[in-house]
Amino acid sequence: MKRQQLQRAAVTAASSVLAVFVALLISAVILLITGKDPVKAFTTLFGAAGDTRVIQGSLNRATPLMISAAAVAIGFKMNLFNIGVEGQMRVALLATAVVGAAVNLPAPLHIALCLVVAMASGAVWSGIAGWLKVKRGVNEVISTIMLNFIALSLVAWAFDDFFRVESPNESVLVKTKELPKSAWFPDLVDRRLNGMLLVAIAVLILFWVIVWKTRFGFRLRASGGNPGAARVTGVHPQRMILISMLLSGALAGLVGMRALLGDVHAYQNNLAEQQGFNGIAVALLGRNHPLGIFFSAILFGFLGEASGKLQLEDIPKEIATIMSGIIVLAVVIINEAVKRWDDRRIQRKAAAELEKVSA
Amino acid sequence: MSTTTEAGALAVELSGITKTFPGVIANKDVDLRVRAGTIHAIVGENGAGKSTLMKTLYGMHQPDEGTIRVDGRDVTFRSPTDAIAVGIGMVHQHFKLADNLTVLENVILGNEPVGSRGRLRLDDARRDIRGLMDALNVDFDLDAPVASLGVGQRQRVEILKVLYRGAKILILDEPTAVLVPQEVEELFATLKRLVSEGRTVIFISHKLDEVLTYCDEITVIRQGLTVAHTTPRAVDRRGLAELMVGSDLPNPAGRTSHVGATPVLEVHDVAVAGASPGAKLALESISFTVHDGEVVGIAGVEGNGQFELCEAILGLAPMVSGSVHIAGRDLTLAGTRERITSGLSYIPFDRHREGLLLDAPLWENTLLGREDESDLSSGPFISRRRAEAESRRIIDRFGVRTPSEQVPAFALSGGNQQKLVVGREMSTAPKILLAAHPTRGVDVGAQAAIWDELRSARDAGLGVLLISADLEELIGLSDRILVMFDGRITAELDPGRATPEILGTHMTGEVQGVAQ
Amino acid sequence: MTAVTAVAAPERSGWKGLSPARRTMIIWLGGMFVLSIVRIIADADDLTSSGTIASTLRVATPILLAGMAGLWAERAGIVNIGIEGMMIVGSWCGGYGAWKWGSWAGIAMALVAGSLVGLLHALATVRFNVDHVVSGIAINTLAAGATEYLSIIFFKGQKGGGESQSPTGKGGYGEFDMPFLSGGRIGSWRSPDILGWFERQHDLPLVPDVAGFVRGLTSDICPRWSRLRSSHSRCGCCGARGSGCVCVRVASRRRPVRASACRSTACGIRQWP
Repeated sequence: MKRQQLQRAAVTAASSVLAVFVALLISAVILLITGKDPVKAFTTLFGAAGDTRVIQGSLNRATPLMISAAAVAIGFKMNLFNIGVEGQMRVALLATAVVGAAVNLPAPLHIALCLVVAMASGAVWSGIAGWLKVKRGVNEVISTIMLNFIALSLVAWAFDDFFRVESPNESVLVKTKELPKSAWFPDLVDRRLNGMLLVAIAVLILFWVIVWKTRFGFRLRASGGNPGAARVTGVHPQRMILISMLLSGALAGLVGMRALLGDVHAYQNNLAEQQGFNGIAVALLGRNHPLGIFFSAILFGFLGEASGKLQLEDIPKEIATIMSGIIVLAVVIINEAVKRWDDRRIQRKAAAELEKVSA
Repeated sequence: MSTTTEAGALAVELSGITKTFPGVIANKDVDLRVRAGTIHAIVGENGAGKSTLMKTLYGMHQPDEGTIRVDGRDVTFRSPTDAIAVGIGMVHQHFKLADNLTVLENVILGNEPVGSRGRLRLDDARRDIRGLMDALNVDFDLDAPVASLGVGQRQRVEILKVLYRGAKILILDEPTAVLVPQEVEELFATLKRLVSEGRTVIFISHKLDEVLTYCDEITVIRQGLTVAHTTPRAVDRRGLAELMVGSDLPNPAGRTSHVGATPVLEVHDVAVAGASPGAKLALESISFTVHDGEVVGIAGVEGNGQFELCEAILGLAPMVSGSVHIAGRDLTLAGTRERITSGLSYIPFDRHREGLLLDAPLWENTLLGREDESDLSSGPFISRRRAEAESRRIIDRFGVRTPSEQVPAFALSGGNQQKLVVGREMSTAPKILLAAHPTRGVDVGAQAAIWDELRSARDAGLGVLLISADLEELIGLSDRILVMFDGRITAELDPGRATPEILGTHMTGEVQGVAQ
Repeated sequence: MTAVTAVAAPERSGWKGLSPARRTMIIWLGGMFVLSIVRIIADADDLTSSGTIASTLRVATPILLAGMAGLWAERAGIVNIGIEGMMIVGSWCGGYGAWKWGSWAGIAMALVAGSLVGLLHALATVRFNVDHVVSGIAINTLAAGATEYLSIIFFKGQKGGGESQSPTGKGGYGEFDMPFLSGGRIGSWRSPDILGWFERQHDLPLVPDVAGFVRGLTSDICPRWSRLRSSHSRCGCCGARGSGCVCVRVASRRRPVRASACRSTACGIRQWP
């Protein structure tokens, strides 16, 4: 990597790291004000990093976050805000649960079918928003948020009225028909870390390769960076918007698969909740880059997993949620400030080097 | 309302103003003396530093060095509010009006008269504005929404706005850029009336004819320096142009023709739809041919269809009828990418909006539009190494001043950005180059370099469609000049016999359809 | 001399020719008529009862306020996706204020808290030029987390409170029924409930509906604010887990109607008898 690029990357990463520190600081203050011991909180939290179970749990939680953030990031590359990951994920969950339970195939094929169905249904749902934007200029922020609500109600109704299977045991949550064992995604560490992690990492790698290394990815980034410039070279902005939304929806569809194929093996009402929204936070912290997303997802996963330990010290584990929130807000603010500073630095440096040459 | 400053005293005096931005010295030790009660023109090429100077006077930024004196008093402006308080008002080139408000609301915006308990005293405002309008001899329906007004009227609303705040010194930035000749006359009539009341008007322009006709004094700025202070009596158009450009103007005579016989671009009877359904056609029955080794210049005031013509050739415009042939192939229905691969290249009107990815490094900008070329890609992947090598080649060949090809495009100066765009478009071995204002915002040295490149490419067989507002550029480079007015081609002229005056009369539609 | 004159509005006939007030009247009457027919056919006497209208108003109030918040921001050119977060913080602080110092203090605190969060949004978008949508989302996330945590610290273990609910607030605003129209009190005498009588004539078309509508507007005004509930970890209405679920449960002394507007995704709006 050239020196310039390395510098740019370091500056981008620095804003995220700085944001995490700011969040720790403010959380410490909040803890103090509310009468809890911040030192104890942090040592408990970060001490948990040594526990293998916690690490496995973090990676497990990070899996859907990685995919969700990738879905959001692909939209961002085209200046599209796909806030609808939650809804797209939900539609894909029910569709996959129903289809997956209705067929019987040998294991690898069955899983492949489920993944394909998930991606397709997610893409269909996000495609609605994409089509509305292309045909009628509807702002995708509004349409995806509205589609979220529609999806959730639609899925709840479909589940309630058609696909639920009453369980003989009253205390168990109702679900759809359970997936046959051939659709269960194998665990890496039994019951604690599911193999979908590898799929998530593969998604991130593919994301990187496609967006930064291929001609299509170049056209995507050009369209997002300057739609006017892309247009005069023959890239259809409308087509790019639609493709971007479809890709985003397809990835969104995969978000719930770890919970569905690796954990519960059937659809139930609160499956994989909030993972769509949390993906947005991870994408923001990871600056929409696969490497950043990877680490951010692990961080968020870790915060979620390790915060359980805080209960033992009489510190509400919700402090971790506050930390996540502050991290997100801090990173977007700090990033803007840092970017402005960095842009000016680059300009000054370029001018200085030219003066040297001409002098 | 007349000022107490006696005519002859200086309304504005700028001394030794220096202002630098990262990478460029916009103003260096500039002096400006404006006498009260005059119309004073500041003249210079694009990028010479006129706007920067006026922004300093209006308080939009602070100079690095130098002093400002208004009505004999030293002043410093921390923001336009300070400038307004002293009586300076500025009418910008791009109007800052709120379309959804009425004329009255726009004029009082930010300066609303409020009574006790904070209620708007609209009747007072109406009275005051009416007084201003009477003095200026204009009439407006104060309750008309600004969105319904034409360009000339909007400009007058802007002037009213400035006067309502009690401006005694008005600065107008390129006021006639968007006006048709009749509106120009009306504007200057208004300005003369203002000046007769004792106010002072400073206007920035690069249109020499207007400057010589309407103003009392002229200051010429070139490359950030004041080069002359003169009056219309003391200088003629050619002299003024030479002061602006600083060197001898290009002489079109004495060059050999390289025009070949193969048509590389044929536009036949092209018509392009207007902006909205039922509107007039943006282009009507446009027909011409460009041959290999030929430069066809298109002259015309901006907004007469040149942009739509480029879009039609690129395949992006809603063409109603006609055909476009590129390198002999009928590509009327083809997409843009296909036209580009058939030998079309395009230097866009606005490099920021259509030519560059500002946040991306130069090697990625080199790939723009070229990522499908076989020697810049391998299979579905882009080849970064080869793109970098190609960009280095362009940087060397076209003299783009940059530390490396990794630098993001926004870090380059405007002239160097333009050189990169020109270099990129000319490096695809095109057969026909669509060049829209290829040297806009470029310093004189770079301009000469680009002209040389265009000439040698032309000699080697490239066909060029040159669209430009720079009449000297058109005359100096073209083998033929076509004039566009109101969406049609109204004249064809021989550059050897065309002068800026003759071109000017054709461009403003005074004379139509007369070939030289 | 340039003159710009306003073009006189063209004469219009039919629907467009009516004034806005007239148009509203016609739409309202038409709507009442349709509802009346539906009520008679479906024999759903409760459809247009004053109770339904009253609870409609109650449930609509937060939506109306949120809508106005969005309108205010849009007019100033700011996209405010963070209204959700501001609502959550506002309602938490309102619940806290109501618990400690009474209902009016609760309202005051809610106002202040909401605007402070708005200030945060302004800081990010105006001073630091952060994208409006991104800032709004970040604020929603932060608000949800913050109120969860603060609820646990302050509300857990208190009487009537818990980690997802603020304790019972002190006092209320009192209640008010219109005299004569809705049987309100004048002094200590209960006036006849004229509208109520009309409302009960279920065999007539339109009359009970209109009566119900007007009575709904004029009775049970300002019902007691018995409890402001901020539900975070688990929605009390439907059991769904969702951070930032705001259940506004309002109980009235006269009518045991409870309306719950649950933002949690699986819940929707429900009403208990």
